[in-house]
Amino acid sequence: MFSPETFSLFNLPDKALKHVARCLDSVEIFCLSIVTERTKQLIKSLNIPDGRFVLEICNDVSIVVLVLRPLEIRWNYDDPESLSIHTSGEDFRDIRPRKLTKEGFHLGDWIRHLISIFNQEDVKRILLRSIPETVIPKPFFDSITGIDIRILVVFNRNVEHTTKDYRSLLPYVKHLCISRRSSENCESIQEVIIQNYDYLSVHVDIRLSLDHYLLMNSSYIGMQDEMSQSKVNRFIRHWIQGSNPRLKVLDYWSNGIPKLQKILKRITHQDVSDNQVRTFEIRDLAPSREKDIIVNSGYNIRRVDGTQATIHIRVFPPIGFRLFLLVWN
Amino acid sequence: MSVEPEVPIVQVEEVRENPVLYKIISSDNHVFTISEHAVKLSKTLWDLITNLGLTAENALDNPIPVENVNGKNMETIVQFCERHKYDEEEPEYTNYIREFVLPEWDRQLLSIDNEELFQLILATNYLDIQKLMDYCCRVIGDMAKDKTPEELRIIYGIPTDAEDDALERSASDSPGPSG
Repeated sequence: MFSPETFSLFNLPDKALKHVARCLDSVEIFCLSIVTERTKQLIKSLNIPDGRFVLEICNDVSIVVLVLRPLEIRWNYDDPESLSIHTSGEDFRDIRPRKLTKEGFHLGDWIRHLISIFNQEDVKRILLRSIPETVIPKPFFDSITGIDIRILVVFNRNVEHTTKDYRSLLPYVKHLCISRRSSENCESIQEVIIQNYDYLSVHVDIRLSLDHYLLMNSSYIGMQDEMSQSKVNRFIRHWIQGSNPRLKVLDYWSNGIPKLQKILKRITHQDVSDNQVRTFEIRDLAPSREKDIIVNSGYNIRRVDGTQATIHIRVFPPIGFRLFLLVWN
Repeated sequence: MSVEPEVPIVQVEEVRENPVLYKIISSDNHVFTISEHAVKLSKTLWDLITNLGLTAENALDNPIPVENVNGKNMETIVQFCERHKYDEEEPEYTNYIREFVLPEWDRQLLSIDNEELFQLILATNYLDIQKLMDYCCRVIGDMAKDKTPEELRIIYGIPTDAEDDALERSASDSPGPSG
């Protein structure tokens, strides 16, 4: 059973086997997990808590595994079958960068492997910045298509790739934030915003019209302050008539002061009375940790199908104000 | 440079400092004497002592047979328990990774070949000695240091996926007890 150089790990009782696995450091755990399917299942069975990880796609793809900090994993376009693992700090017995290679693996396979061993349902956040000009986007994005993504943040100051490069990811995205994408044309952004997300926000660099907002089918829409209060009013009136059927929250920031005459123009409403205070649960809808909203003021409105909502305004002088359209269940 | 002490002759030390002693008989009929503080490190043994109602007065007259552990492993276990009997109780760990460095005395104690280490782990698992289990597993974990996945596969004798599949197939193909 034994040779002097080997120790038959899987002959150990289950309790001892897991105990040994827990004695490995993060790099060794990751290394063991790719040996075979059996070792992968062993690491999975450790139920490593809170193994959420964040992916940053740029010249090197970096994968930050939150629970294993200060562990950072990097993937390079030139060597898709390998990951390099970088550690720092005293928690690690060996802080030299380590390279792991698995034949036939691409970025998507590595991500799926991580999701699996950390018992996660999705990638917590992907930051899509840029990819090198030498990389052909399609096979790259195809590799990670199908992986559920909690939050996709699209950054791009030096726009090289366009919506069509990453659109295959969109059906798997819950929260989408598009930032600073100045060269995005309207036709292309339209293709992005009509998808059903839980949360959608588009940075002001991309000019959106009211029509764009009316096309959105997300549950939580962050509205740019470039939109005037009159346009907010028109959005709400369209909602009353049946547009944006999945909407739960419209979140509009303005650096002006609220002009109720404009906001409520031609909208039948009732003031929220003091004895009508309700709590709107926003926590699970927004990507950042928002506190539930205590709706102690505002204007109750009703959609043509009977759905109730409240226009709730919070003023933050001298910064501006925040308007919520909160749709009640 | 300080020199680590030799493994102590535990019985002699114990008689001097703690009169409550228990006798344990290994599977190959070796008899060991162990102090009350030391034996408490083994949950299995301490439960047995409690359930048998052994006291300071009758303990030495009622040796405890442990049929799953041979004399060699029991000797190591008794040495370990006597060495660590006054250690502070470690807090229940919640972190999934056990990062600690093995003390030199224990590393020497556990410098045994892999087969012996395996048997010691089985014994430790049976006797439910948390600290010794931690230390034995640390020794095995240390074998992974600086190794590639393929080296790990060899060191830990891990069958390849193909070997596992073949094993599973042959297990499912072989006739059952009635076949």
